[in-house]
Amino acid sequence: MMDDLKTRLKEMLTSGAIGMVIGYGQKEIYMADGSREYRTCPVFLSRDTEIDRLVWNRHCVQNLVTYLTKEEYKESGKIALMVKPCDLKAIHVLEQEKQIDRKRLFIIGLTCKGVMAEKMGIDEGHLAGKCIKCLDSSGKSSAVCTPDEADIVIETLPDGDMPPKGKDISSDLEGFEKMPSEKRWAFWQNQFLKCLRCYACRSACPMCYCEQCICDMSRPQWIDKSPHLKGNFLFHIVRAFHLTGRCVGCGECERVCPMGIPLMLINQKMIDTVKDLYGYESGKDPEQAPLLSQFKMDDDQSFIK
Amino acid sequence: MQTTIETDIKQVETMNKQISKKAIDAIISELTEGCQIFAPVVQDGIKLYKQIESPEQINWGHGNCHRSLKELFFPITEPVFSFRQTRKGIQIETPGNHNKKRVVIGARPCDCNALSITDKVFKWDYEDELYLSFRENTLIIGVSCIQPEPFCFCTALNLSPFDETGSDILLTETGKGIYHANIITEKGVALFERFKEHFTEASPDQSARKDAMLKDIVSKMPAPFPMQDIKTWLDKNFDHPVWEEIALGCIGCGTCTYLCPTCHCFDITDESRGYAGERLRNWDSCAFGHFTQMPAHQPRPLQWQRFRQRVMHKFKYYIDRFSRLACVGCGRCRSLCPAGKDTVEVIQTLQKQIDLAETGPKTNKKG
Amino acid sequence: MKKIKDKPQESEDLLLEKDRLWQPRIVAFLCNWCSYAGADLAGTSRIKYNPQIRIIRVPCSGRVNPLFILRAFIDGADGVLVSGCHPGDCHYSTGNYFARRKFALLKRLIEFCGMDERRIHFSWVSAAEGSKWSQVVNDVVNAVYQAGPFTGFDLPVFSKETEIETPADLCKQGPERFAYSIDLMSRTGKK
Repeated sequence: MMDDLKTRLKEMLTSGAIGMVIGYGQKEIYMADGSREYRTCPVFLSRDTEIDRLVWNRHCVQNLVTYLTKEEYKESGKIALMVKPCDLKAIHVLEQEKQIDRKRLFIIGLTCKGVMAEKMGIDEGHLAGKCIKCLDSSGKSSAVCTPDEADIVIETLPDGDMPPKGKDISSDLEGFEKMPSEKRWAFWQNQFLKCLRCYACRSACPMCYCEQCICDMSRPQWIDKSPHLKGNFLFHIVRAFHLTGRCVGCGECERVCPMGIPLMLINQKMIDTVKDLYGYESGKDPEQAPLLSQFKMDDDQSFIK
Repeated sequence: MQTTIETDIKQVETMNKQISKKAIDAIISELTEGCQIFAPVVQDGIKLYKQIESPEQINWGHGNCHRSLKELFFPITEPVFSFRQTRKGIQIETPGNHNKKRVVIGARPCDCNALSITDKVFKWDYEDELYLSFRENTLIIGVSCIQPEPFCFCTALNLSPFDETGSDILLTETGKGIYHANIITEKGVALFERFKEHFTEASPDQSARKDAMLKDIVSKMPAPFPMQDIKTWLDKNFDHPVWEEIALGCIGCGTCTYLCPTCHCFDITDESRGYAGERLRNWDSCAFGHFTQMPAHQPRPLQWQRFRQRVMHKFKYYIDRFSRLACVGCGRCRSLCPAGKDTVEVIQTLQKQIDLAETGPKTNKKG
Repeated sequence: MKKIKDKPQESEDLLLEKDRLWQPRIVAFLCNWCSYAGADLAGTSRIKYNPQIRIIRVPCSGRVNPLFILRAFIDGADGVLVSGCHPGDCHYSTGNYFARRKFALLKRLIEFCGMDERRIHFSWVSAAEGSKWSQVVNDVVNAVYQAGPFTGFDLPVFSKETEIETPADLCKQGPERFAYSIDLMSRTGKK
């Protein structure tokens, strides 16, 4: 299947039907002890000779949809993109928000059986938190890319046995919510004090595409630019709120955080809240109206006096 | 351009001493009385240079800290002054709290070496009081790397895991609980004089052992890159099409620059509420789109141009000004890049370009 | 800034607390068409209610960006109240329906982060409900009184016994740095 894909992509690149392939590849890296290791990372291929670099394995963690809204990739002609079923939801949100032109995309839908958890550049040796719920009893992802959504569906599963399951994010969430509010606040104070404001969470997020982020504005300066407690707290709450009803739970923000702040805890909470209150799931359907630009007459107002 | 700026750190003839782990702990305990001690501490799964109260808190493990030593001298956010409007006019106060004596223990040679790079910037055309007062009041006890981390590449840049630059005293663990101590600067000598009874003369076999260890470690680590050739290539190839390709994948976050021990860009921002406020100096990064944004012009609108800027700064501009590289090979940027971008890979790609230019015409020129 | 020891339960008692050091600062965002007019009615009807509230008039509750609420806390508010027209009464037909979703989500979000639920309040008050307005204000002031001064953005003081470990202790790097800046902010934020 991968071979068919490679042949097809080569043809498409030569004929000019697509301008670039954004996929997963491996590269050799130079280690301090003199050994060479292979690291799976995004590759950007625009020559047919390079197509053989494409791989599909459990280390294909990064959500490549992020690149679609970056300025540099807008001029590359039609883009062929390797998309995991969960990443496809991000494409739906971008379509819903009219940020991408589906016609400019050639979606390579992958069939997934879970990816590895990666945190602070280290493979943690178990499945990513988001995958545990998604996998069915046979160890295959229950989410699949259907031929309607993807231009080509790759049914080959990556090799390798099932790695140990890590902790499910919702069990973390449950435990966290049981803590008294002062403890929760202290926990986040503790976490946000570490924040460097490198904005890796923002850059890696497929939903954070604003040309002018509110965090960069200085007139008016709603969010303090300085990485002190107030500024960091405000930044993270605002980031979470801007993603409410839009976050698809890909976990990129938490993966890329160089200080290991558990951002998915907040995001998952908001995903659950949105589903609980309004029955809304982001990225389910590219045609649905965005959560905050619609309302129902009988929305919950028990909290209003 | 050669520069005449010299560091005023007074090097003395290196003294070779020996000290036990116990004695080090005793020294630290005694030092906590009069000054602040900073050392690597692991908390919440990350290792940072933090103030400690007792020697037991120190993490003597091999790994480097997640954040570099620069934040002790050039904090992530720092008030320059505060202002307040009163009936009598505007009052300005400067913080002036950098005079406490500080000791850093357990810093890695790459981080210490990086300070000699930032030193030059902060006392170049303008002498930065905030940074320099921190530097002046801090004594650094470095610890050699006897087990480099997977992503380290200091040897590739002609530096050594036992490098003495930047440390006042450099400790090297030559046996279990025994450290070889090189006393390098006057500050180091002063500390040595104060705690003379804890040190013993280094035996010749200890010194020999240290040399053998160094040789063994370096033999495994990457061989030096031809940085001079790369500099020459960079001089001529600002507009080379390969830049666009090298930077592919960069998502434009500030991870590499913020973790880098030598990156030193900052932004000044005023934060005021009502009648008072303060001016703060915060870290900034050339990877951000708004770093060079001006009202009518953006000289680096695309990410590859920003990526090129960082490479150029490390391997060309800094050499032009201060005749040395602005990279110490600590490997933080390589290990934590969200998109798997790799500084070593960049250098290797540039090397390939040099080879291509030498062997024949470029075949991969993009249209 | 001192925390009052015995917190009064009744709003009548609160009025007698003038000599206490701490008074809550509550920011209220009122929609121009209903709640602001309601507050006005309370005034013209000479209804007494607690004065610790600072009113900011906005065109519609839909205009209240969640950032306003967060910013109020950052700048030293101890509590926030947002009030608008009853559903169906919005001057712009649907503004308060959209606002309702935002508020529900914001409230859940910041309470998840550990904000005391007694600090953030929402109400629907129409132009005819002067007495409801006074009741709402008294309830809000009471709740914020009980919650005490908001110190969530002060640098945490972690004792050795605290279960949560000390964070990357920025305050210790530049010794008086944070104490200094926060002191400054609170001096400007609060009297």
